[in-house]
Amino acid sequence: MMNGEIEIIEKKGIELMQPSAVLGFPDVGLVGAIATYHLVDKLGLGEVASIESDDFPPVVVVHNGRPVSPLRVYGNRDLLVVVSEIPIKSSLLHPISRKLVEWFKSKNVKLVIPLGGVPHPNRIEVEAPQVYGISVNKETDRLMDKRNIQKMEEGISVGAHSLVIYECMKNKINALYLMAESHARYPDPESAAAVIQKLNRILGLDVEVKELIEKGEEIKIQARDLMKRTENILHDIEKEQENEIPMMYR
Amino acid sequence: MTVRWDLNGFLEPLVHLEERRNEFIVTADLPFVKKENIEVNATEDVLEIKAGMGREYCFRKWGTLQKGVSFTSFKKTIRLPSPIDVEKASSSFSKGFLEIHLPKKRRGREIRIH
Repeated sequence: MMNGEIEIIEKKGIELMQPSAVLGFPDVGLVGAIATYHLVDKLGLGEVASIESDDFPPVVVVHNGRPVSPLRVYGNRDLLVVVSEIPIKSSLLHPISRKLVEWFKSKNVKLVIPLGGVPHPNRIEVEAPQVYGISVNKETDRLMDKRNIQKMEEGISVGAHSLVIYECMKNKINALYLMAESHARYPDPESAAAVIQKLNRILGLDVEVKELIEKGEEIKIQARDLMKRTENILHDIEKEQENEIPMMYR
Repeated sequence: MTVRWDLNGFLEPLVHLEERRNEFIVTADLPFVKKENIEVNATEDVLEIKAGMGREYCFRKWGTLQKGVSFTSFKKTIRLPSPIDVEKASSSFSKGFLEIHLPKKRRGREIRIH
């Protein structure tokens, strides 16, 4: 594998029927990461591929006594879920996003939905986090409208999730980035629950979120290290730009 | 870069220090903690937070020697960037988050321009 090259290594026997794809890289509040782990667990999805690169940190994760890649794809015939147990450094965000979308296209993925958080300065006072969306075309606009998801009309969006939907738009794949109001620097299981509830309605799933709320404190303890590492990466990619008004605002 | 832990059962909480013009604001995420189990001590330049979880928390499958450790408390010591007025410090605790306001000690005075 050459430097800068990203490979998606499929396990044998993967059969897909125009699936949807959901992803949640570590980002603000670890909303996407918490949500995707929960989806994999509750839907009982098996690993279908690993994402590998010589440019990744020299890390393997041990699960059930076996080493696995920190970036993996789980799925069944109708749904792919991309999870990452490490934050993605700035220089890898573009190549990973391009590679993923190229792979989605080769698998006839019909809809791509990244899940993430949008930092709320007074999150502690928010009882029910609002979910916002960035949509790539009129079809995905309609998906949001039907589920009362408020659209981000103008602004700046930073990170892998934003790049993925942009690549999807260029490749004419329907995509919708769902973002729940969240803590910026603390793991936020409640916000993960909020995005899953919207995802349930979009994909016709029935993933229970009660456990995310009930076990929220436990999740927060387990997610401390990933949150700390993610915070450093968010600083590197200048995530705070999301609070800026774009020049061409009208 | 990682948040620390030790074999005596202490976990380091996620903590943030924000510097404002007249004060520092420290926030800490303290899962499983009740207000009555929090102890905050401060000197002019050091803040110490201790908080009991009121239960034992054990990562039964994690790592190697970590498996046997039961965590019962959070502990964090922060060296402050400049001296604070300890007498005017205040704190609150809500939904698992501790927020501490530490007014800066006034140093120097305004210099008039003639």
